[in-house]
Amino acid sequence: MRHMRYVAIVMLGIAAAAAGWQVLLGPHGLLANDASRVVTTFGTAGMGRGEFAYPRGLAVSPIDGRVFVVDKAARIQRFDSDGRYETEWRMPEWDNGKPTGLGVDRDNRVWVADTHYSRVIVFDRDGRELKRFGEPGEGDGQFLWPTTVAFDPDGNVFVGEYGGNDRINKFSPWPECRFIISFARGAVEEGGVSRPQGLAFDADGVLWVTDASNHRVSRYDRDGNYLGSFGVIGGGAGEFRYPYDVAVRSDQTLVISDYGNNRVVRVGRDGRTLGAWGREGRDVGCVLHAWSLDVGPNGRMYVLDSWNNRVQVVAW
Amino acid sequence: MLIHVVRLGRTAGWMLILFLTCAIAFVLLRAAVTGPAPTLARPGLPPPAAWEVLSLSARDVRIIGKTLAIAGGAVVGSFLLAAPAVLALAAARGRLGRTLLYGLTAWPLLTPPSVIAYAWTLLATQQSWAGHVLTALGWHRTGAAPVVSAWLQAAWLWPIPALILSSAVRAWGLPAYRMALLDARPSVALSRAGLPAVRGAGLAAAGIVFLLSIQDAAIPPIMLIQDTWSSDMLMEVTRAARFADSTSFLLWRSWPMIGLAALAAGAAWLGWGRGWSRSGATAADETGASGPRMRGWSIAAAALAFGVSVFPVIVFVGEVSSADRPARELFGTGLTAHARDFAASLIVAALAGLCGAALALAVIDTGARPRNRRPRAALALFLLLAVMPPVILGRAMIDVFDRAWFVPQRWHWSIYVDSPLAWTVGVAARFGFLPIGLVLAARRWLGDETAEQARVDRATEDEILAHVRARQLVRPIVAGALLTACMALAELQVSSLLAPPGWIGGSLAVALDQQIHFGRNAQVVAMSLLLTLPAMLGAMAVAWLMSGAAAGAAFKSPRSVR
Repeated sequence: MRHMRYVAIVMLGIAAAAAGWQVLLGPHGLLANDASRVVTTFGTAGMGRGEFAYPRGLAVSPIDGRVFVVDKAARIQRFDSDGRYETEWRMPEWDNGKPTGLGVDRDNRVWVADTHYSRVIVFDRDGRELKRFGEPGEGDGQFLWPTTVAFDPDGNVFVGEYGGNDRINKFSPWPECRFIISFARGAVEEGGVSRPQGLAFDADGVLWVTDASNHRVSRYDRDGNYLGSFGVIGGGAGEFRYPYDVAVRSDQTLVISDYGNNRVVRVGRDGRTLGAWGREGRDVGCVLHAWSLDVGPNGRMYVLDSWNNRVQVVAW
Repeated sequence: MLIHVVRLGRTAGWMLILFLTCAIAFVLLRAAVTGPAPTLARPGLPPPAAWEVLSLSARDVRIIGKTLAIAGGAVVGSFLLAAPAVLALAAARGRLGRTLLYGLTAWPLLTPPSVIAYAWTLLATQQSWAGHVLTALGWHRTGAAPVVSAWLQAAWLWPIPALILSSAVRAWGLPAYRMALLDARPSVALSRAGLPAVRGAGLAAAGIVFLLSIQDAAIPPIMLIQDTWSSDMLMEVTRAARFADSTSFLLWRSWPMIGLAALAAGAAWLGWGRGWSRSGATAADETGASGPRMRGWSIAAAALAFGVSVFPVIVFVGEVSSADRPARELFGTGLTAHARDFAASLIVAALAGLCGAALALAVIDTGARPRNRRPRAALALFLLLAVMPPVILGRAMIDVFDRAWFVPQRWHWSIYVDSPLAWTVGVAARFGFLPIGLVLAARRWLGDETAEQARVDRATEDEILAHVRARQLVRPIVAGALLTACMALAELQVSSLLAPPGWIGGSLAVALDQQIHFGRNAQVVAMSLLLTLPAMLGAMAVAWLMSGAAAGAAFKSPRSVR
């Protein structure tokens, strides 16, 4: 019986810690999440249809709003704008590693940054390969680790890359895809990037780049001239912790997936914070390391909630 | 006061042991009952049949082959690195010298393997003579990745053969060698007496290195090898999510790896047993021989081996000092980026250390019951948990926590799912064998005379435990707790599954591992450098404690045993 006293002390200690945890962060706790903006979610962990194995890249067709997601099983899955599964295909090779980003152009072609094979592969929307370009190297038209693909209003193709040769490469429009220039070299200097993980163009043809390892967002004109940047490391307003992707809303404000802070931040074109959505967690309305996001033609924001293996569709 | 602390610690320790016993029994029984054929948790593709789960595809065979090749290379590499260090460790004299050498040796083992691999990959991509040498040696060739992975694992795991063999050499190898020298040539004495005397210890070390190598899911992916068994298991966890009982599926699916791990553990157990029986025969250096004498070449070789320990720090310091931003800014940015993860990891490491201390306290005894099998049963339980693939251990913890029917649903979330408690229990379960093993090893060297004397003086069993045994074993207890804490800080696989979202932060080792994959980044370098610091402090503290332990243990020199 004398041991029961100590058993009770240990149990009380655990209960006290759990109660504190519950009061602060539980489903009805002080920091409970507001999921009211979430229209729907789709996807769960798995290797089946409509399931994800650590998805890392998402893009929405600017034409019909279809959603394309690439995951760590090297699969690209296509969903309609409401998240209903339509089809899928796999990358031709994946032993070296899997893609981390993709983009969809105005003709519904899917451009996948095949990161670990130092190339970009273009598919039609059903997964038929149309073209591939790029090879390992640091020269013109070569890549080390391409991250993602974006398109300016004229159809020029922009590819971000990292791995010691961090820069953005510009190629001519489909179908030539001829190398034009590379820019934003130089890691930490003003105008340089360190791991450009996400790219997006606004209606004025300004390129917005999430400069992930510098914890900031930079902008360039379509010729690669540096126009400025905003953001410092941190968790407050105007601060980012590894921003991974950026998308432009119809009102020309930006939404940025703040990977390390587990939230999506909405900012004006001047960098002023307009709001934030999401907090760290597994419930709807929470995110765990959002790698990517995009805005559909229906105005909804599609957030790739990577560690939760799902996409959250947010009306914001 | 001490009595209450010991009682509380022992109670907490036995509660943890009881919980884990129930948990592991639940998981294993459930796997046995459900069998290898999984059932779906939600509609979807039909589940695989039992034979599909158990059979090995061509890809599985390739994965196993690659895993075995890397593990074999890691064993060879770790022994090559350990050999000169063994001589230096066996020859070490004085508490300060022993602390320094043993601490330097243990340092890499307490450092996250991805951080060690990061240092080497940074060097290999530098535009320096060292980078050119590594490039010329074929570091960047695609086909060389398994060899490089094996080397990196060796650079992480070489402390295991170094520490075990140095103990064995001092205790059994040198006495046998010197005895044989009386009537044999040195080469014959070495091959017929010296080496056979430490064969068991060598087998134990090889088994442990092999086991840790096949469980490693950090180094091969950094070298872009996705298809080793442990790396692939992370994908299998995702695949298993659609099954009603994913842990059972994973257990059945990974039978080859569990079999290999059991073989490695069996070899280690066998070798360890041989070593102990031999130690009984020779009574630990009864010849009165001192340690071996170091010659010029062996000093140089040992310096090379110890250089491997400090190598990551040298690389990181070089990278930080040559970065285009001041070091203070780099550390500031890195700390700001990962401050929450650092705080959370330190808290969980400290809690895991407390669990380690509680487990160590739980298995000490007064000697009143000569046939007390509970401590050895506890050790067997934690060895079983250590042999289990870490991903399955993490997944099993989630399974158990999710199905804790005796806890009201409302409290599930806060007590089990996504709470620091689950994370702490998970890492403590993985490394709990360290404090228990250390204390039981030290206990073997202790006689029962002091406890008997206390009993004659009418001390109660609780008083003997607190004032005799706990005091006698305080160094192994603290060392075991420190080891558990350091290993918890560096742990990757269990933490990646159990670190709770929405808490102070996640696992720093996991966060750094993710950023390390993106290559050179001065902030990540600064944080990696910072993470080597607790490993170094932990290693030195453990070495200091064990080099002066009143009771002999694995690190103990025979001189102070007497």
